[in-house]
Amino acid sequence: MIDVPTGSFASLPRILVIDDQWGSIYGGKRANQDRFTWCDERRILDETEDVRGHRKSDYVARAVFFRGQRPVTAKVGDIVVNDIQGTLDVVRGGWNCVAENRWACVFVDLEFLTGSVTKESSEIIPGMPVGCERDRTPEAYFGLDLIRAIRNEFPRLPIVILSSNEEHKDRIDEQYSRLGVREFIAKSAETPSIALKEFAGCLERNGLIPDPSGVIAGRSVSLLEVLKQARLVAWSRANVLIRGESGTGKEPLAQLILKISSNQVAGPQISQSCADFSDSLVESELFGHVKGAFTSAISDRKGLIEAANGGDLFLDELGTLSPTVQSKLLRVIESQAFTRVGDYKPIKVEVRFVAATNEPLEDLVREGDFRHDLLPRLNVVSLILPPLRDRLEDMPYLVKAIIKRLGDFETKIADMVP
Amino acid sequence: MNVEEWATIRGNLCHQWLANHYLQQLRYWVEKISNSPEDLCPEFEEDFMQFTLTQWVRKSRVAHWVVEKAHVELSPKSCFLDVPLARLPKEIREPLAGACEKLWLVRTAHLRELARKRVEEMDDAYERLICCLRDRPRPLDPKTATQCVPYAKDFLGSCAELKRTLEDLPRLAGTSWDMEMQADD
Repeated sequence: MIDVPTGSFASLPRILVIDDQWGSIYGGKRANQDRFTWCDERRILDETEDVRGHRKSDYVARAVFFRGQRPVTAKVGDIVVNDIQGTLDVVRGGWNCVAENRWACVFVDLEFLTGSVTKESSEIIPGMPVGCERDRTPEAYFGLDLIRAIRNEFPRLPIVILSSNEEHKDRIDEQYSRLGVREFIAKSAETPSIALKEFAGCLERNGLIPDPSGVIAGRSVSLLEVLKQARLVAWSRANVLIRGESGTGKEPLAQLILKISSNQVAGPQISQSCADFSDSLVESELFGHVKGAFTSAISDRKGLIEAANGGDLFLDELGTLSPTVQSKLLRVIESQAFTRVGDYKPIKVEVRFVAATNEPLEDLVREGDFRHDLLPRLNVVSLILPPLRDRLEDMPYLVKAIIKRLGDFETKIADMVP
Repeated sequence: MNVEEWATIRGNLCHQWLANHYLQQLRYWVEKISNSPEDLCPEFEEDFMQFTLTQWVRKSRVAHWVVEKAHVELSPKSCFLDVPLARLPKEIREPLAGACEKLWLVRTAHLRELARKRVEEMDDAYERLICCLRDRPRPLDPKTATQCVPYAKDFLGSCAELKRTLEDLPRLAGTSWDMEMQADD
């Protein structure tokens, strides 16, 4: 199960759910039980205005529900109409606000029934209109209009399709993938545990669970985007180059990638800062050596690359590697083989490289200090961490994370004192 | 009644009501009384017993109607109302449409029979569950909940089967027809 911060609700990702049925407010004493069961099974804290009752402590997200239609509380005799402008106002309100209340994601339903609310249509689900055939065809879904409008005004806001129309999934995918929306979550699930797993998986895939360890703390959109890319690339075997200024969290991000991919790799995951290598031993450290290769080589020794065979090797401070070592590293990436220092037999390896640097590698390439052909091979996926000055809204989260870490450290010290 | 009306009523029953509302709440309630009756929110239980569970009484009639009238939507006879078959001379078109429909009704009878059986199974399961719940204390205490769980699960199973059958009804009829035509070829 995904470990998410609990205790402080403000730290939970806040999502907006636009759905005619669940966003409907019944009025009077009756609560919207469809919404209640959906939230309860997925451990979602419902923040919609009509909710009363007790709060639990094990939520994975907060949600506000909006009907996407007028009136929100419909009575018999009312005519329900779709409301793009009203919906955009709600989206806007939760986007131009403090970071902790900003929408982390919008879930959009597809079918929105319109028309008159009759006694019969409202009998089962209060405020539900009669609907018509037009509301039920994937090409004419109001959800498509909504997604287009939200995409247009908020291009960076993640959108997830919420639907019970699994039988039309192919047609829906065709319509919506053009708008960059590929995530589709079913409205109902066979069991609560499947429901929770699907929902939490969706949050994770969209980078909405910032970081279980709290090392990379923050809620800024730019950070969440990097975390989402990091999660996606962690599931692949592509080489990754992490870039960013000093102190932006490159190493924690690399550790997060290694942690996520740890379930899929057969070999070990090794981390090493290239700045720690001494000039004379760097080749031996990386590629290993055989006995007699140099004066102090008294026995055969595996290098880091061989030791990480079948797994991942994280190289921090990549820009400090000498051109000779860069050339050898290039050969390893190209041919998946290398030779130990002093040996001639090639050794086959399968290693995924994760590298990090704060240096402008393109400038180093121009100046001849970094191999032009190594850069694109390491840079298969490039993750650029934004500097803290561009995401000052993350400051409170960072401060909290640091205080927590210091608190843990002090507890450990206190434990050691007799 | 026209085809669109049938499709709208089927859509409202199967999608809007059964899949998005009734089945979801029923599944939640069964899960709670099966595994953790003490966690069941009393307000939810009261609302479920009073407003939700009993909805089947009214919807059963709609389900029976949808199944009985299914042939109007599915019958190949409707193809003769549209171009190009509609251009056939009346003296050919009408007997041909009638013959096609008769043949189709025979060949798809088992599908409509299955749907009818599913609705009746759900009626029976509902009756058994209501009998078990009658005169029981509310909210259900753990002992009562345990006694009702088999009936509740049975009803939930019937409900899920009915949803599947109603979803498959138009598709299965078409597939069956196509498959049998191919087999005859």
